[in-house]
Amino acid sequence: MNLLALSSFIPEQICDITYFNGYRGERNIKHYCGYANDYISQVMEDDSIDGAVFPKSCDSSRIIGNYLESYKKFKYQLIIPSSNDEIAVNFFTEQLKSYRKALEERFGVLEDIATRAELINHLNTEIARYYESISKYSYADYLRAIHHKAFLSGDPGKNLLHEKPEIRKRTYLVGSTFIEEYVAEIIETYGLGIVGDNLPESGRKQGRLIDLETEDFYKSIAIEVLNRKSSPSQSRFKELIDRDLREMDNLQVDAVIFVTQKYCEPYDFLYSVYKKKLDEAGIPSLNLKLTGMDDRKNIELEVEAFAAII
Amino acid sequence: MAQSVVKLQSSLMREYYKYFSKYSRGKTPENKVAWVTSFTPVEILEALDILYYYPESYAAVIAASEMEQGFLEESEKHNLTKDCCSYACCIEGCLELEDGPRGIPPRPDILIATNNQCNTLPNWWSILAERYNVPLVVIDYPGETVSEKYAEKYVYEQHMNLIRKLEDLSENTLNEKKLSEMIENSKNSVEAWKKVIKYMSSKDVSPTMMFDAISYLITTRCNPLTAELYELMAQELSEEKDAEADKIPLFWTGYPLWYHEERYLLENLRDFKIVGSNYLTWWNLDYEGSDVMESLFNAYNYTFLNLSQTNRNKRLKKTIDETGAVCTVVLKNTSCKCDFVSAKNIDIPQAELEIDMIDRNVLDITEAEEKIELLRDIICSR
Repeated sequence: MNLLALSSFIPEQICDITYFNGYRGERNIKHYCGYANDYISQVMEDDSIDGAVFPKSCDSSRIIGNYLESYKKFKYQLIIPSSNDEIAVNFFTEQLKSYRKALEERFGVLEDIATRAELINHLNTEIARYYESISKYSYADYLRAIHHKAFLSGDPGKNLLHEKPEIRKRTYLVGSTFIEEYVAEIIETYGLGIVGDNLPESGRKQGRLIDLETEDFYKSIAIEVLNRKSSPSQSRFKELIDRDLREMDNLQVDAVIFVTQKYCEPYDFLYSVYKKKLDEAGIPSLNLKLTGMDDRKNIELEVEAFAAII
Repeated sequence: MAQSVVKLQSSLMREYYKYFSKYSRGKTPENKVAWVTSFTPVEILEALDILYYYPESYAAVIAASEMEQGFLEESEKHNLTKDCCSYACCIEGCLELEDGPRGIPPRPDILIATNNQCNTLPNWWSILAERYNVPLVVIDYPGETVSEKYAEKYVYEQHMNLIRKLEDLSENTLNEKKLSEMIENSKNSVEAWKKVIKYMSSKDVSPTMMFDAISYLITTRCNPLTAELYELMAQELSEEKDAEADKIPLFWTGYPLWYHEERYLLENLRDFKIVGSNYLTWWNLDYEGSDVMESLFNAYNYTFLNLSQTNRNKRLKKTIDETGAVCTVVLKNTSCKCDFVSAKNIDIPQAELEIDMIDRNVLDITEAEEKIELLRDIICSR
């Protein structure tokens, strides 16, 4: 069973999933997030994918099911509540149970949730451990280790993560999706050292562990997902920005880079407010918008110019 | 149209706009104010005597007043990209400049957004929350994604939560009898509106009038004058002359062009007759239910844009079939990807036009003319 999950809102504890982090597909729906475009393409074109699991958290993800409706592969959409109150947690808990049931009906017996929860706790603990001292390592290597699930199989530090000299242009990364490693490589090439982030696969997962003694794993998972550092699609802008600014202050950040997809409305709306707060704090920022095509040249030019002013 | 239709329209508009800055003369409302998205359960607000306003609707008024370009540019200066919904960009520009054809709406005490239309509106409401530093309530409507049992429970709990918050804000207590009365008023408005649009295919009526007239169903459906207005309109429409038989019946799939004087491409569609539009059916909410909460759940959870693709296909096909349309213009609205996907499975000849409902600069008129010409040729060659 190989399920392709769009976004970290899809919990790994329910079953093993592969998080989508890039594909060059055939589909090109105009004025539509390139990330979602490529996700749809991969589900349609890649025979190794057995199914798609995606959230209803933004306009692009909301209508993925509409484009995949005629495909016989397994499809499941999870509604991500905007709130994290008890009403939302209970609703999300029921959804996770239904999701698990749908998986079992389609694919048969699955790995025990308690076992997976323990595994993912270990993964998140390792990610958090490296995140704490991320300024010592190549950020691109760190991302690569996350994307290739290297943290699940021992300590990647020795083989995958290379130490780097102390950085001077301390940079915070804000992102909407699992970003491709080449973007981080370009940023580091121009002397910007990433010291923290709120990416879905990294900063947003900090400190989020499931209580393994719980009697209701589904509820514990629901609480974990909804209480992470919030995404703008959960409409908690103030909470998100305030938390990031506190972290940036602790990390003594010199600059911020937004890495988002063109036509990603939650981040486009967030940026208009976030930028204002950064300007008030005197922190320069760059808004890198990826178009889903080969953006390398443009990214290099923009990052180079930005690094020069820091 | 008789004077009384005009009088009713004037009365409704006067009441709605009286606290906008152009007319208020500095007077602020005594009641609390909410800014709401188009499919908010406003019956609850009415029952608690809370005033409510629709920024989306005002964006349409701004475009109709030819003021949208300045506001779109202003919002871009404040880092809100034009890639975002143009309703949002237009209003943000209006608020920055504190200007508009009717001024600006009264300051909100609370913001209420729903996602039964799209997920963009809650994002926009989040930046309004930053601007005004007031509470934001987002109501999730699961649609058909989960079982009805869980959806109803979730929506019920959120509605009760909303009621508690609004009771605290207004210092009023919800009167269930009044809520029931408001729901009945909305139902009557919907039924009366259905009578009005029924005449679009059979009578020689202007689509412009229909696109403008739906604004009352959106903004004042709880007011009994709205049903009265529509009943009167339906009666007068029944007496209009029949539609010309030699025009090609066409379905307008998508938003009206708010910036256009006629709200649609009249000059390019002279040998077509617009016999219907899905936009005109979006607020035909189904308030069926054995109690007020069930009514509100059915009405607001199953809005058209919250349906599965399968059910959207069915509903759209039924709507088109009822009008007798033989072809359609499908508007690919750069501000609303949720709507465009509705038209995926239409099986009558179509011309797909890329437009924006607010920004008049998006439409390439030459390309539109060519596509409409091609559509005309296809139909005429049959």
